[in-house]
Amino acid sequence: MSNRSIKLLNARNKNNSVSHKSLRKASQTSNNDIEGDQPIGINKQNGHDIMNTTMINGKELFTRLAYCQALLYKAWVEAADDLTNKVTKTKANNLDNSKDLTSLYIDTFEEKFTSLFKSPEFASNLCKLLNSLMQSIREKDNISKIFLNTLPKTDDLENNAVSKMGMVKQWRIKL
Amino acid sequence: MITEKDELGSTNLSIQIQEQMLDLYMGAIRALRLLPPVHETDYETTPHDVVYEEDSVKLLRYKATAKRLHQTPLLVVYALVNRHYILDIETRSVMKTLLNHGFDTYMIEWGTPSSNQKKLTIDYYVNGYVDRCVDVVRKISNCSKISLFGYCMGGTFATIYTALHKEKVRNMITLAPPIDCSKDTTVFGSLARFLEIDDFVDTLGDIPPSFQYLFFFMLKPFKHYIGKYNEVTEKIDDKDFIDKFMQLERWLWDTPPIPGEVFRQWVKDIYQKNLLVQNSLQIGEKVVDLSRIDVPLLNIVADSDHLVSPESSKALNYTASSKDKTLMLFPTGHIGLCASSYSQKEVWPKVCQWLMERSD
Repeated sequence: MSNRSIKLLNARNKNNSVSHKSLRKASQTSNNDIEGDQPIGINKQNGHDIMNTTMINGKELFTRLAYCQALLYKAWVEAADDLTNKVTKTKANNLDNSKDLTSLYIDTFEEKFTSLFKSPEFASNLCKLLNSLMQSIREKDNISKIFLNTLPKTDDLENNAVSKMGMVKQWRIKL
Repeated sequence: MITEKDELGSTNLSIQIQEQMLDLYMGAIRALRLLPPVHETDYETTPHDVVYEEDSVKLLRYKATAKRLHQTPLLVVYALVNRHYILDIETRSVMKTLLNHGFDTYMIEWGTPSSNQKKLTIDYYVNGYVDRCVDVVRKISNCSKISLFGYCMGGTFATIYTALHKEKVRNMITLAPPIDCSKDTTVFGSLARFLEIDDFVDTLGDIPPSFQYLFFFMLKPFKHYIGKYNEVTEKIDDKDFIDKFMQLERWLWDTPPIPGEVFRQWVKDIYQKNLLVQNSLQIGEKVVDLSRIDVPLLNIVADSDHLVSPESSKALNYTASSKDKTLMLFPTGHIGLCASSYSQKEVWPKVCQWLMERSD
């Protein structure tokens, strides 16, 4: 992954962070709706909001994930290059023991990845990824709550059953 | 083994390296298949009694192994991350060493927090649980002051407690406590700066083990997951080695959830705002002033600590106003300070000596 591609991804992330705010707002609205006294179901408006926020957050989540993966991949490639250079510089005779190579590999990769994990770029992106994940968890909960609210209550089922029974009786009488 | 010479070209060389690296990964996978499941690993702890219980918290009193030499009891405050038995791993048991040196030793086992405990803050942990445990220890031992020892996060709790209740503390020992988090250069320190902790805690309620393992994984992934398991493959027939290894593995993969409100305050006030070292941390109705700590102080710090930066811990020695304060710096890591043969030879005899000189 080149630096340019990572910069492009970063620019996309910035654009997405704007929509992330609108997403949070929409989610808070639906949260408040749910907590109100009146049970609500999925109607045209909130259904549209839910779909919108879920899609925006999904996009944000996967962009963050892709960005983290890009940084990990870049570190991996750089560490592999470093290792090859170190092995090349060290004469092959000095590395005839596979244990030496193992420790060289572990040290090289550890150094590269530790500096990546400590970098503000990776840390901030990972934390934003976690925030997107939290947002997804909240959305999942919202959708579950709304879905549960749309299910018929016991009274509804009983009333429905009674009215259907009544209709059957009427048909029988007619017949 | 690399047999080709440099003149064959770097591409050939890098393919060979990659093949060897692949072997390393396969070795790690083989080890994980051969090892018994961690939760089936038994561990023996030093005999103890539970002398006080509240919610998930237990106060353990360890049974004396030597004739008691010191009247001043010692209370160990463990961290809320992982479990207390890291201090009591067979053959490397810190608790046994303390008992063998004649200390009447107690330890707070935090247990697995219940859903009610998710809402508890550092205030409740320090001024509630720790304070009540200190009172129980004082009552049992008939002593007005005790020695307090805090491990990692427990070290920060012990520091806060001593600053607020110094009249109950005779000596304070801390092991790798996070104090000045602006100097923390670890992976966790870096992540904590960017973590939107309110979002996290409001959604999850507490910090589940799966998230803690993610952070642990990022600490030293190649050494801990590739190097370590390959070493195990080589020694898979060495029962003694495997037993010790599995005890440590069990501890690594056994962490309770961290109560959400404690973690929120921990990250926000102690890591992000760095309030503790600025003497501005509000705990309950009081502000923690570290300069109020004037009891004999021993701060144990690891030179290669990858969890808490040594510089962050050392700050305690600069801020406490104790005339008798000692900083012991050891060339080891965070866990190496308590669960290694090195610590049994180098660290704990010196700690016991320091404490013996300051206990009745």
